[in-house]
Amino acid sequence: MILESLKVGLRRAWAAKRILIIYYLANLFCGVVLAVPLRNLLSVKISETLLGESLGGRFDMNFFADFITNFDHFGSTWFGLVMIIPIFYLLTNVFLSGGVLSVFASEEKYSTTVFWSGSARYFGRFLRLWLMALPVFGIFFLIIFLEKGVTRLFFGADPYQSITYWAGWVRTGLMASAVMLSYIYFDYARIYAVMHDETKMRRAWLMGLKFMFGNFAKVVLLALSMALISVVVMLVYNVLANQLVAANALVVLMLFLAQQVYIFFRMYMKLAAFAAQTTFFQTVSAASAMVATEPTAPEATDELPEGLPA
Amino acid sequence: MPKTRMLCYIALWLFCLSFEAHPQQAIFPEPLSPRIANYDIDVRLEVKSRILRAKEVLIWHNKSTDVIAEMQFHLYLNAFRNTRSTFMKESGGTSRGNKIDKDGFGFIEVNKIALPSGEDLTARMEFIQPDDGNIDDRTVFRLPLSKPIKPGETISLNIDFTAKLPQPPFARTGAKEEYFFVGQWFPKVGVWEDEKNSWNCHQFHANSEFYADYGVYNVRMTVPAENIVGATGLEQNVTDNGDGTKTHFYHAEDVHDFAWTTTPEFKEFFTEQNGVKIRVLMQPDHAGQAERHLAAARVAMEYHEKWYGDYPFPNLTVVDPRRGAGGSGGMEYPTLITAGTAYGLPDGLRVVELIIIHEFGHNFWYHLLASNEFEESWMDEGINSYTESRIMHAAYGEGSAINLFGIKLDDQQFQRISYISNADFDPTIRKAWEYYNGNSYGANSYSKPATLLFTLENYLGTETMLKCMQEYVRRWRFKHPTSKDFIQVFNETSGQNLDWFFDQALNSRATLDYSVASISSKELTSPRGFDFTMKTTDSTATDGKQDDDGRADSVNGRGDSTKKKEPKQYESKVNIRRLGEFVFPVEVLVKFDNGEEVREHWDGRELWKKFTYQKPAKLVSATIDPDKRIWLDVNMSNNSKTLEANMLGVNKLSARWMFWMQFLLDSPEWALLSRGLNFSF
Repeated sequence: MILESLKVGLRRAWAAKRILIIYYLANLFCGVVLAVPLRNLLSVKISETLLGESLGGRFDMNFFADFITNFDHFGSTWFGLVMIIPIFYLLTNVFLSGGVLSVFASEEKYSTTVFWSGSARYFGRFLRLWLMALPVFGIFFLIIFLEKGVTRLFFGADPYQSITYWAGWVRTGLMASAVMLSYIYFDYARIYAVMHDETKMRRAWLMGLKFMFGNFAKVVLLALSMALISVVVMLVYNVLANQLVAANALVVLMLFLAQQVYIFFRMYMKLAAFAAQTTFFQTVSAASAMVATEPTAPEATDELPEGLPA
Repeated sequence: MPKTRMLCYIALWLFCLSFEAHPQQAIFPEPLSPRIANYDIDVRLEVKSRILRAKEVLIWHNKSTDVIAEMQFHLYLNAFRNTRSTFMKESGGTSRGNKIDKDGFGFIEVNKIALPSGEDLTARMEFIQPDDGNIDDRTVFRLPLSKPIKPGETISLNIDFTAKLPQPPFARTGAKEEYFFVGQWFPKVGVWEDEKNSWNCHQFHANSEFYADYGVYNVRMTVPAENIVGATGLEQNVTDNGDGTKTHFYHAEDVHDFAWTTTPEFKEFFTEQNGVKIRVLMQPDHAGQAERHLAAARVAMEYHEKWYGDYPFPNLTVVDPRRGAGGSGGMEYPTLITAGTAYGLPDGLRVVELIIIHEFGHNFWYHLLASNEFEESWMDEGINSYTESRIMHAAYGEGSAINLFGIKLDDQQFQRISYISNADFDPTIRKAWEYYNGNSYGANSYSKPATLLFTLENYLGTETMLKCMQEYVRRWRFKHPTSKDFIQVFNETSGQNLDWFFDQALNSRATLDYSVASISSKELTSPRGFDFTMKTTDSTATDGKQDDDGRADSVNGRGDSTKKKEPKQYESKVNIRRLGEFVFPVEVLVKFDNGEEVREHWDGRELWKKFTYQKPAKLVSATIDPDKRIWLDVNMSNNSKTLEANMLGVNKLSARWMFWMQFLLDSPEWALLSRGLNFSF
């Protein structure tokens, strides 16, 4: 079921290329806005110096020193944007996710109407859901304290650094788990809301939790499979990017393309996760609906189980 | 007179007696230093209470030409007595990121101070605050003597004292559970300065280190029997007291301080470099990094001896501080240094190497040459930071400080970053507590001197620089050099008067910044209007007058109606500005599009300089300091101009930056995850 969901997810995400491009453009737009102040500053300060060429190669730490010391006004401009753009990006993602899930729930390839109307229809609901989910995220993050408790229990208040070092890795793993659980939970709560066209977000909030914990091993395994693919591609990207250091225009262009292909891939994996999880949700819901209806309706009908889109 | 002589004999006899009671091997056949302040200390450590109970015999020789009526002593541990001390007020209770525990304050009390005759001088003790008048500071006391010490005479004082060490180790001294690092722990006599006819005995400040006379130390430390001890000097013997304690007897000659450490947890490792025994005392959880420590110590010793002269001592002990005791890390004492590491520290993060090379360097710049760190901290920390960077580069190459995940940072670059971030608050030479703040103290004591010495090395040439440094070490070994002495050695050895450089670099806060303000290159057209014969000039003539180098002394040329078809002539201008107050000769490299290069030398005195050229080639670029020799330049980014914009660097950095923004927007959790793992020292 997991593998099948994964395959369907990857296939459907690729099929929804227009959405993929919309996601990529949203990310690119925010990235550009955050990069423009730096580019403007560098254009003025270094484009007509020898650094204009040399920084096309390896990074120069003397330049870095000059930058942080002499161009300190850059920080204030940039920090202003940093306060705004991530919030804008979050809202954009919440908005777009309604459309994406509507498309994937409808099992259609892509429909402009379904996508944009879904985005608009669920934006308010998802925003409420996100706010309601914050305490859940908080609870997930409490698992990080497991590490501190266990370390103190077994090694006391003054453990050797060898203990705290490995405990640090465990803490990082727990943090990653908390992040992953938060994403999984929020995704399934949204999927439930779309599948049931739920208006009461309290119910979606609860059903998301119920679904996640009811199918805990499977949902986690599915998410881990996606994460594994992402990590492998990230490693490949890093190896490639580290080779692209020569100071010439073609290499810089290739680096830029590699970066954007990688970001595009991340967007693809994000959509694939939505699609795979929607498929998984549909499969599990269908199976449980079948089980639930069997005793009272032994003769199967052509009707879809409750909650699934027609 | 006979009475004084008698007292001297008694003191001498007691001194000899103390040596007889604890016979030790002489380290050096002849004294290397004047041996003015000699200590014989018997100390017992009470582990639970962090208390030291000790008896000290000080034998002090008046080698000055003055009659001395009083003595002055440091009681450094009183800096941690309460929050009202000068140290605590200046530091705000924090030193290198460490804070004293709620019940972790420390102190030192002189219970009794007496002459060998039994005359009790305790009541004469008077706390003084020569630097800031803070009456709550008890880190210095004066002791009016019943009888002045005449030139050539010796005084012996018996001092009973009790000290409590701060917890955790704070400002390099203190305790953490079973680990003790004991520095600045005993009543220590100041330095009598003959030329000033006064004591140099400053209070303990947040931003200052030390100054003391050389001597011989015999120290017996009684600690729990299972403890391992490391200390200044050489261990002579260990006595089992039969009461669960052992007494470790250490002897040191020609040193000006004594520190020790003890814990039952140390793991010992040994190596040797050029006949010097190196002992590393590691914490058990860092034992895997022992070879890294030993190798760094060998590197430090090898390069210092190769470049700056002989390390005369037979041994070196490197101490790895306990977890939670980072306050005792990264510190130097004669023949004993403390390092600092963390479990899992990657090889590419050369913290261990950097600290050990730095702290060992102090055994030259603080130990062999005992400058006054209270008043001229740059002479130890600064010179040492310079030599540390040279050695790091020689030993580890590019990315000498950090070479991790493709990020390469040289120690020398690190010094420059630290300097230019705090370049103009203070002149380099100030009393350590008079700098604008801790960052300014750090910049002026460590990174600016390192950076200015790199600049000087590039100016003089490496060979001359090494000769100057070697001569400085040779001439001032086991003495108290000052900045003037350092400059004098450089002037004499280099054969140049470098006062102009040192005045600006050490006695002013002037910053050095030369900039290419603008460059231009335009095609020459013939002048228009009337010539001096009242005829109109030929509009196509381009006969710029120029010297052999192609540099124009005039842009006005005469028309020539009998012209041949000549290549295009360009008038190129390069405008250089001096933006800082620091005057330094600079070289300017001017490049033309026919491949021609012109190197200009400018003394840098005026506020600006303009260079004009008439050549059959267009200007490409102008670069100040093209060989990157002037490390003091606080802004290297304005050192060049090109006629054509080149967006390659701009595009690459912007693309990288945008990529990271895109990545983090999409996955903000990565910022969070990176916080999960941190190295705790």
